[in-house]
Amino acid sequence: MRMRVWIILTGWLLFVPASGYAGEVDALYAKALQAARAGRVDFVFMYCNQIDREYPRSRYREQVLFAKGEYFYELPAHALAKEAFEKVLEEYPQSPAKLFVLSYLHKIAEAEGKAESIERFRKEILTLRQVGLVFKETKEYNYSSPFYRSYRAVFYIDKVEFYRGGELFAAVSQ
Amino acid sequence: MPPFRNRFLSWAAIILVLCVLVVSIVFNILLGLNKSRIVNAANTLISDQLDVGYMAYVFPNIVVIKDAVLVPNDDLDPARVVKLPAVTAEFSILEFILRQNVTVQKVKLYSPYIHHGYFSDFLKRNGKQLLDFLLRLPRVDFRFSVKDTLWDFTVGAGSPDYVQLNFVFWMKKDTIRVQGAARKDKYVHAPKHKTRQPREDPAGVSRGWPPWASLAKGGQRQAAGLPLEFDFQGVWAGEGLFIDHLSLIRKNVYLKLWGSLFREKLQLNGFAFLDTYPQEEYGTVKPVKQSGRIREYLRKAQKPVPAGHFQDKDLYLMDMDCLARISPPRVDVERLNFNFNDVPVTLKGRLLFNDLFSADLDIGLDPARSKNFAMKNLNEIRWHLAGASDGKVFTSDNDIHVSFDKAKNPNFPVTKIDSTLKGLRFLLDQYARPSARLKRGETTIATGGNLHKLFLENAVISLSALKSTLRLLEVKSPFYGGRLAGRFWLTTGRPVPKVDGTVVLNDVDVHQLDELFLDFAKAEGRLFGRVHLTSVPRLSLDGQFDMHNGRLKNFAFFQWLADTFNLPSLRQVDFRQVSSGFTADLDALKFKGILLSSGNVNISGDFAIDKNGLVASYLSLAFSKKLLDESAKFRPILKIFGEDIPMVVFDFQLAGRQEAMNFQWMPSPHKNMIQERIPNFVERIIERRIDKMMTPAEQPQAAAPQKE
Repeated sequence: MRMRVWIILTGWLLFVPASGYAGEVDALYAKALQAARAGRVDFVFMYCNQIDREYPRSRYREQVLFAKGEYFYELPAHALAKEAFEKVLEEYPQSPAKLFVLSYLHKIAEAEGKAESIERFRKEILTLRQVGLVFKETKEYNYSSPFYRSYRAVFYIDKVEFYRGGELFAAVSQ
Repeated sequence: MPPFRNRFLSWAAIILVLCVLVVSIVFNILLGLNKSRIVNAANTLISDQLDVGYMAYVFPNIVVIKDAVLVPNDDLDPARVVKLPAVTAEFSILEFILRQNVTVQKVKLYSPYIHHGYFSDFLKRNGKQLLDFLLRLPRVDFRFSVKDTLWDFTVGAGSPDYVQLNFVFWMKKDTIRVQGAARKDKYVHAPKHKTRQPREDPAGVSRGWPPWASLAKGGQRQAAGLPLEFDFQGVWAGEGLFIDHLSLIRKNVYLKLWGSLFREKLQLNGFAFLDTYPQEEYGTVKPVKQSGRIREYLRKAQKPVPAGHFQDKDLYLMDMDCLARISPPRVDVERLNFNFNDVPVTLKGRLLFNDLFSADLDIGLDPARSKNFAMKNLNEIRWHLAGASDGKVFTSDNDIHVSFDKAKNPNFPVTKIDSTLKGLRFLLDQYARPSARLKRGETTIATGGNLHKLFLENAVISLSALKSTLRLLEVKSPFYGGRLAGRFWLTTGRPVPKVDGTVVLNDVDVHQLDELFLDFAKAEGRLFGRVHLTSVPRLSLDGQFDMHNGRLKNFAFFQWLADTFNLPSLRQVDFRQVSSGFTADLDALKFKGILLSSGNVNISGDFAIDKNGLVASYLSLAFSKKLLDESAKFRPILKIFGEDIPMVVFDFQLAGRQEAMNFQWMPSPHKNMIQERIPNFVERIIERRIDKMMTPAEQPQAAAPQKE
């Protein structure tokens, strides 16, 4: 009986702080989403930055990094944006946002005039997905970012167009 | 002046003249009497026959030898001769009076004529004993000069070829110096009755020619060659020789060496510059006045090396460092290192100068260590050469290894080239076109993980000089059951060397080419093709190939079609013709005008793949109804097409990664006919199936295609 009490007590000590930790991250991320819905992008960044700084292993890290990248790109602070997007690619190679991360990196490389990087990202974008067009002329892929921005990639046989919030953001052709 | 004094001077002069006369007469008589003994003594030293016209003594210390001729004992060919029209020898009067010893101090040869072939043989037979004899002579200050030598390299009546040579050799105490110049003039064959006596040439350059030279050969000088000046100075030191300098200077050449030769050990350092595109090899022959000749002499006498002498040279050898052991007839090159146009070169090996010359050399080039070498990814070249020559042919076996650094140019597909050339025979005939025969050559080219092997047997390679900077290299060889003929034009002019070439393949058995390209293992038929290569403005290939009446077995594309659409007949396609044009450079490989025609399938279109492995292609595939009938998937659509349509055409655009290409079925009348019969929901089902087929298992589904 005494043993059982000890086990319960130890378990309580172990799990209660952990759930507190998870709850704090969830709360911060929820605040970030709430701010995004309200269109307060600076607050979104603030919450995302706090998650990234204080909980670097949280389950929201992928979204947080993408959000930071978006924010820095808009400033524009291309070096910081590139750093955030490259972390997404490095840490989450199968990320559903990968295609759009690449589109951002391609745009940044174009802005910086780095031919080698432009070529590298162009090739990665064009070869990321294989498309077969039998009756249709395009294939589309969608993604929503933590900023509540809708992303759309339209694949043609030899071209990819990126739309952000319904507007053409980038186009990469073979 | 008192009369007595005048009379004394007169008598003294008369006595002096009489003495000179008496001495001259006595010495001339003695020379005349001993001429045969002197000639015989010389003949005992050499194996050949020396004959002397006459010998004369000129007061006070000169002996003149006229019309000396050296001929072989066993050869009656009048051309094989060394002729010395005039030789003067000066001896030391002091030595003669004090010690009654004839010590020759100066020897001068005027206008000697040397037949090269004969003189080479003579040196081979007598060189060693002559050298021993000269080395036994007491070492005295000595000067030997040769003026206006005519060295006859002519072979055959129609190809006059002479070298003019002037040089002075002198030895003073321990110092030896040789200075002179050699010049090769341009001659044309002239009929005997039109040949002028060279002595009458107003330029005076050919003054002193023996009449037989021009008369026998019929050569007439057209232009004066640029002289090659040489200058050697060395100092004897005990058992060796310090080489102070050895210079070779011509308008297009500057070589300077220095070092030492002690016992068998030769140490040389130096540098060289060479202009391989000299603007003028010959100067115009024009009359030169005496004053002009003096000015020319004074200009040459100054002998300055112009400061800009190195500026216009395109080849340069710097930091030459040679260590060799010379033990005749063998020379062991322990090291010969130099920078060739900034590319480090190393050479070591063995040379054997027997009757049969042989060489066994290891040569290495390290372009990777060069800062200026244009092809940055060329890492190193290693070449082993083992060969021998009988004087007419140089036969060698060669192993050549070339490696490339992938990191420096990831787009360059070749990583290594290994080549073995067995029985490569060079014809050593300066009057014939340079040509070579290759008994067997095997080249392996490594590209990524693939090896491409190329075999050549009994190839004939020849080189022709079309202009001073334009060479034509021709290759003819049997080639995998057919023939290969190649012609390459090499332009060595500025600003950059250029290579243009065409290779024609005729009736080649495609199946045998499987080691060259793996894909050919799946093909049968006879190949005809033409490839054009050019290096300017950039390295590129283009051409055309045709194959007739062959077969494609398990060809990757048809294999994929056969598996995907259940069309087993496509595993083996018997074609009537496959042809295509192509272009290739470092950026892309393109096939234009692809055409395949067979009973079941026809293909036409273009296909290109770039350096990133991205494909761009438009292909039109026409399948026979018989073929489509094999597949349950296609059977329903066959009813759409009437009897008047023998083949169903599918037009495709391909793009994307080569290993996983994107494809689009392009609009066409046949597609419209099919689409009209298919309900929309079936189209969507087909699209979904295609998507499923093309989405690999590991591909993330989160950003999945939008459902419509």
